Amino acid sequence: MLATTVTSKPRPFDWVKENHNVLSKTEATKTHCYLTEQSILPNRYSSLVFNAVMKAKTSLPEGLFLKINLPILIKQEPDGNFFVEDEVFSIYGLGETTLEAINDYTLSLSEYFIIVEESLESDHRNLKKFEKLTKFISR
Amino acid sequence: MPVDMAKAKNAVEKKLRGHRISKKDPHYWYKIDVPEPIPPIEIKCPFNHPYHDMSDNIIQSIARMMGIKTRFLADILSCHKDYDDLIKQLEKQDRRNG
Repeated sequence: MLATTVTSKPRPFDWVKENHNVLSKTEATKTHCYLTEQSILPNRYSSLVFNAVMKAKTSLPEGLFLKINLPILIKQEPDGNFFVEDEVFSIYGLGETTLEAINDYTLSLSEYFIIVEESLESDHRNLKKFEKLTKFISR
Repeated sequence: MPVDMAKAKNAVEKKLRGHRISKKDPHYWYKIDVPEPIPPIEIKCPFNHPYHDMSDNIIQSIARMMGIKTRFLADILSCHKDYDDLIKQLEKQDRRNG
């Protein structure tokens, strides 16, 4: 669902060095293979800010999906919660973990699409907004 | 500066005359009616997290959805500016590009 580009400068995590008391080098190297996802999306990291991309064809709630890649930004709030927003519509999501924040974001994006779509029935002023939305989202 | 959530809710509902868009639980989506030709404003507010403050990130995001600067929204939420100031600002410059 996500492709990421780290923009902050996280502390390099040397799994072998930091766990030499717990695991042998071989065991640690094996384990490291399974930590890729975790190192991209840490659950707790102070001053975390990085860019990611929600990839085209990602399913959204309400039967919608992304037509093209949508850039998003993931930040950590001062209280430790996570904040996800896109740089196109400025929709955001919140959560105690990155995954929860991303799920909240995708739900919010779908809701926004439906709100704007429904508003067109009585108000033509949202037409530009809807056209912009349909460049990225479809049913 | 983070804003107290109760104060922010009061500002959105009373000062900005925002009315909640129904059937979007647990989210709080508000529509703020504005005179033509300004496009209507739809914003999502984190009032389902009442025990937190509205953080700078959230204020920044909502300000962008409204087409105004973060500082301007902070002034609205903290009592210095009101609905009329918002309309004047949007007539002068609507920062929404869509």
